[in-house]
Amino acid sequence: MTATSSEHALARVLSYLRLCDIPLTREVMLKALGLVQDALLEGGTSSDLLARVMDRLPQRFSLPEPRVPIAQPNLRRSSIRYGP
Amino acid sequence: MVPDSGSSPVNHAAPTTNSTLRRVPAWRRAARWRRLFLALAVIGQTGIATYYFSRVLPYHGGTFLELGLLVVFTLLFAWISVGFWVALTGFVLRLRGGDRHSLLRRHREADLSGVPLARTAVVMPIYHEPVARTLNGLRASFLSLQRTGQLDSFDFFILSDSRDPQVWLSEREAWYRLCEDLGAAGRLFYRRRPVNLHYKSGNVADFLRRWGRAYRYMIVLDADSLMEGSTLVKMVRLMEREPQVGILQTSPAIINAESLFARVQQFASDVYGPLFATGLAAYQLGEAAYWGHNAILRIEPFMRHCGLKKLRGPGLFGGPISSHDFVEAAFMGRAGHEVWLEPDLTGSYEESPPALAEELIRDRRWAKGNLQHLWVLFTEPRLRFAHRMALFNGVMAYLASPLWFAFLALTTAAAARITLLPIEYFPAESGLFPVWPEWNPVSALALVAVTLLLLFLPKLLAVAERLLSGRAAEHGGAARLVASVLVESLVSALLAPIRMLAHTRHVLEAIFNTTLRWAGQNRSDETQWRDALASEAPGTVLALSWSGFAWWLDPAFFLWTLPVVLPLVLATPTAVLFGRVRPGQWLRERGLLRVSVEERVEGVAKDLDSGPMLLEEAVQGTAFNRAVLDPKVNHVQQSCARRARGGARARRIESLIQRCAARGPEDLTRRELGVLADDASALAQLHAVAWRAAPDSYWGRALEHYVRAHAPADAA
Repeated sequence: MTATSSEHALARVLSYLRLCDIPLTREVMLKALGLVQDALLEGGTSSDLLARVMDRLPQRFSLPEPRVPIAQPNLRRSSIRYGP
Repeated sequence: MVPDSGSSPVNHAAPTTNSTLRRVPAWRRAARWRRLFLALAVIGQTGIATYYFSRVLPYHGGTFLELGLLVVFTLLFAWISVGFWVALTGFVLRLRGGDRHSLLRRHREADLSGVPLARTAVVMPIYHEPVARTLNGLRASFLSLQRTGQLDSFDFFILSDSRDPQVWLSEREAWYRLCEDLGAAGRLFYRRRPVNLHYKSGNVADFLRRWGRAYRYMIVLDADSLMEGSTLVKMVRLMEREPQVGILQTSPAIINAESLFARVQQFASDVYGPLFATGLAAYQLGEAAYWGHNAILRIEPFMRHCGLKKLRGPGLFGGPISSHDFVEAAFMGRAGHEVWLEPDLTGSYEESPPALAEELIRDRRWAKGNLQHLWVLFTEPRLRFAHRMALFNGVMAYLASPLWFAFLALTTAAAARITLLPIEYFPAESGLFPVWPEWNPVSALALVAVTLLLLFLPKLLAVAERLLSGRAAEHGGAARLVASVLVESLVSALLAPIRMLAHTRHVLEAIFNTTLRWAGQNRSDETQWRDALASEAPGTVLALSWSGFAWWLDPAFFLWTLPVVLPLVLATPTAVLFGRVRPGQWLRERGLLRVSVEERVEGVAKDLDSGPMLLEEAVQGTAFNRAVLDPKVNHVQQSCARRARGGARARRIESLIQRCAARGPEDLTRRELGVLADDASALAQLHAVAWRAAPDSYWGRALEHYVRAHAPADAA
């Protein structure tokens, strides 16, 4: 049986949370289900359900942002000289 | 101030007095005597050999052909003779406990350990290297340095020149993971150069222009380099104690070899390397060469004196210098600073190419780079003689091959002349007396035996040194050590003619500024039969033609060609089988080609093997897709990317985003992909598009695939 759009939406949400290292606890699952349910209740087409769900995801879940170290230190410019 | 040749160097870091400036260091006096001895020994030995060779020739050098043979023979024999005397010197010095003029021997360990460290940058210039292996190696060196407790004095820089966005996105991602794993935030940095100028030397120069002032020293690592932390610390302390030293070069040993080819190189590096390095260091002393990696440089004089201009000669001698290291050492010496090779600085390693094909790809670059040094040799003013000799030595490393080829060709021509043409009793126009041409096979055999002795005696000396120093156990005992030397000698004898032909081609390509590509390059880990056949077949055909002609000329001459012909006929299976891991491991299981560093398995070698898989994970799938799909990776890549400010660039990026969103990254060129990958806004938009994409779209399918690949192990 082909997955319905709501199944796709729920799978997307759960995948996104898993990749953000958020454990899929019972509370998280309930929230994810609620997110999809609310998006469905809003109406709209099934084709933009994914977009609506993903747009609302940051508002429902506190997504961790990895701390990225500075790639390069502050510049200390000088020049290179050439021989005779 | 650049002193005249022969006077004391200028000390940039400590006060000097007039007496200091005028006094010639003891090592310079020793160097003069040693080099005089070497010159006399080589000239004398070569002179005698050339004389005997002239007696071997039918007309004793009385024809133009034989004169050409004598010239080529003289150059080749001198080249072999230098290697012999260097090895013999190294043997004698090592038996005597080392060279008393060595830099390391001036300082007791207790005195060195108390020297405070100066700020040092450990830099690793990379260009399309295997990301996981390269950064795992850097990780091993970092951990080793951390264990010394001296990490605070060091910063690490990954200096990327990679152009392929799939590669540099992987590099960035691996850098981030490495920072997380090591807790190296603020100590491990990543810089990708957007414009490649002047190859690796330009990469390092760019680093120095940006951050050179922040550090006193720079330690340069190659992508396959490994260094023990204790060695890094010792090098800095030595430089602090020796302010006149501009560059200190270690003699890296080969490590981590798996294929038969690599294990043979590793064994040779471990057993013969110290002998040659000690001998070389003994003659060079404070005027040694810089090998471009596993070395420490004093930044201030390097920046002041070692900038490399483009060459202004014709063809090969125009453009940026690709083999920069020897030239930089020569410039450092010209400025009055010393350059030392210190073989007793252990804990310095590199990896061997896994197969002959990889080595020859590397040699093509090096051949061109070294031949460029001829221009430097003859046009740069006031270089020290020792550095000119080092440049010439580098040229000969590749020029020896076409000379050998010429020798074989001229020998064949001489044999053909004496066999096919009427005997010429008056070969010289002005000769009054007839000359009876005569071959002297006994003398020829004796000369060959002497030549082989010069080539193989260093190996025997190395074995003797291991036995006398009680280190045969590191190689499985005396019997296994000798057996390993025989295996290495056989492999080297099989590879020598193949290398000769390949290097001859490289030299011709460099001189005529062309690419004689008759096969593709091997990109796989093990050489495939089809690739090897395509690459080696021309040499095999040439060898068979030559031997056929020799047989037709004279069966006795045919026998003389066999040591060169047989390896070339076997070149294809040699290239394939020697590049395989299984034969190397088979020998290792039987205790052959064992080396000391494998037996200890400690330090950096252990860290290299025991690193977590986090860096392997970084290269699964394509890096661009990971950067778009994975939330964490996307955030990291956004943080490192540029932010376009509008205008034509922003409009172009918007157009590329539309195409990529609709049809995926395969619709874009490598350059276009790079534009997107280096723009924070583009990465953010593509991330949003991908996670909202319909399941049957490109990004929908890519996402499905990515999620499945990263599902937890217990997911059904």
